[in-house]
Amino acid sequence: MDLLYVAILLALFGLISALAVGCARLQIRTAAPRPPVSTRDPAPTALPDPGTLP
Amino acid sequence: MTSHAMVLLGLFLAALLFLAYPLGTYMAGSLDGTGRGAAGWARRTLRPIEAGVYRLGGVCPEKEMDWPTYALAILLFNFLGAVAVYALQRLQAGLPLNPQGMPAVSADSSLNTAVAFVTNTDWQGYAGESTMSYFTQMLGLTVQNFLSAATGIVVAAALIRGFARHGAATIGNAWVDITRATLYILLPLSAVLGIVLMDQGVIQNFSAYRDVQTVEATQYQIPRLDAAGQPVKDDQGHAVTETAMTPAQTLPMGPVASQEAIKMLGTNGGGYFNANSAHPYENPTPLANFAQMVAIFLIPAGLCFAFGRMVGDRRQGWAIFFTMALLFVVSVLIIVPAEQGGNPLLTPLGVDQAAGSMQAGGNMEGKEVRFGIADSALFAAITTAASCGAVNGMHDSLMPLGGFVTLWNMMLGEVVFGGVGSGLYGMLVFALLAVFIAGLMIGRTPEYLGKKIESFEMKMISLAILATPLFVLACTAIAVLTADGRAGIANPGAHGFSEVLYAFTSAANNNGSAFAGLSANTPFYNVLTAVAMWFGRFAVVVPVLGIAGSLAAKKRLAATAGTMSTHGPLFVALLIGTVVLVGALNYVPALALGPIAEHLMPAHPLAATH
Repeated sequence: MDLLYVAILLALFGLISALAVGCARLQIRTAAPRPPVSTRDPAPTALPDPGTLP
Repeated sequence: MTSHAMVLLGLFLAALLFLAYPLGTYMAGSLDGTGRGAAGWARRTLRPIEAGVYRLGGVCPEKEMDWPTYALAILLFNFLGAVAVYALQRLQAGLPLNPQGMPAVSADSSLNTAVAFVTNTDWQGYAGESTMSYFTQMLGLTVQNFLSAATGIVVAAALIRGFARHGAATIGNAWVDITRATLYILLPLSAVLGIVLMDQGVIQNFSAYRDVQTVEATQYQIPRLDAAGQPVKDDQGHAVTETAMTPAQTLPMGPVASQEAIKMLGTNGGGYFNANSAHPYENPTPLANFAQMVAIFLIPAGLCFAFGRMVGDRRQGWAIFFTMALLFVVSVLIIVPAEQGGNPLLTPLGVDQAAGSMQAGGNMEGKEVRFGIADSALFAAITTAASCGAVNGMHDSLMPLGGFVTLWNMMLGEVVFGGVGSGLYGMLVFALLAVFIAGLMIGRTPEYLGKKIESFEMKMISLAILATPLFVLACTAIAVLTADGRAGIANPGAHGFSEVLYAFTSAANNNGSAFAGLSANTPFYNVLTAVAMWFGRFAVVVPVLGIAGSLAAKKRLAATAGTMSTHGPLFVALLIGTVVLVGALNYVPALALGPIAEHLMPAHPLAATH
């Protein structure tokens, strides 16, 4: 019986520690510089004409 | 409100302000270790003990922590505390200071109590005098009363440093902060209050319990329990009771005053006795009652002023204090008249419920005659506004509107003075949300105390504000949907729902008071309330420390003509609006099913009987 309740305590500690680690990682991701967004239009991609004979 | 109630409220607020302001100055100096005056004197006197603690723990006080390290230190510290309290309860039969030979506490109750005391909730599914040895009360519960309060203070201090510092990678040292909060703030205050309470008649001894013959045999009703320990109910869902009689009474003894002082000052609320502050050995006189009420608000109010000093702008502390005080006074102006008005169902029966020279009048069910309506209703408002949870009357017997106020105070997130530390950091989170909302309205980047509030802070604020309601509502829903949950309800209908809602509101907001009527010492409620208490505490602490770390790293922006003032009446009104709106959006549907429905029923006696 004691094992069960100590395991519950451990699970509570583990989950809240995971939340702390998750928040810390979120902060790093939020603070990381984002890649510059290109203002140019992407180069047009040539789509194969369905009627083209392979 | 009666003139007695108005004078009492005025005296209470005056005494609070008179004591909290200098305490705020003292706490600001003590937490940063730079204080002069009383803080400097205490530091010089107690410095050898502080240094000894660091040497014993291998702590380097100069080494500061970033916020994740700080958070993990706090979590580990509290986890180990919970394990220690659990072990003490399970092993108490073989440990010293157990003159009554108390057996080991059951495993599920031990888990619940361990989590309750490390989270500053102090929810009690057990009766202290018939469950805990002196050793467990002192080394387990009282120690955690200090340490959980210290945890709240240090998290608030870390958040304040987040505002005060700029370009910093650290927010302090968790071990140093916990040591200072305990040694310089909680211990001296508790010693003083403990002596005051002993002077008023609160007991402090290690004697065995005493059996005394009563003047006449006492007849009383007890709920009939089934084989599983659950109350038996009749066809209409009412609890079945049976008559018991006793010619004797056992007077429990113990080291009560020392626990009582920190129970109030640390906004813990876990009573030494089952009757808590309604017990004459815990709260013997009206003066002791007044001292206990002031003690509950003392540190949370003082921390507002400490905040103003630590961020270098005392007006900011006053703004937070006024916000809390206004919300509190409104709750008192509702609960006291609601209780003084009495029960409308008794009026047609010819019961005199008017206040007069011979009686307090009003709804006296569940209240101590020593305290009457005003001292009981004010106590109920204070203990639920602060996350204390001590009670000097039974909240289950409050009028529906009175029950609504106690629930509402907790549902605001325990930020109306709130818990020690947790009230301040909770209110500061709401302040950040308020400036964000104001920023959206006027089209400016939100900032508070010169710090920009950006994406990461807003995510953490959302997490901190929504975690508690999530656990309150989800756990309540689970309880009313399952047979194990419904089995503990003693009253049918809206009042029964209020009992369950109150239990999880109290647990997840770390208040700890109970509505009573709910048989919560079962494996189901012990585990579910433990989960609610744990996440209600630490799922808020973690994002708050995240905000602290993020803000500390930012540079401070100079105030310009376009900067929104955060110390004036406009900001106080905005902050009150934010707190009330968030609370209402989260909880109004649940409140409508409980106290609001019940309030609408007693006005029509026929409706109440169906």
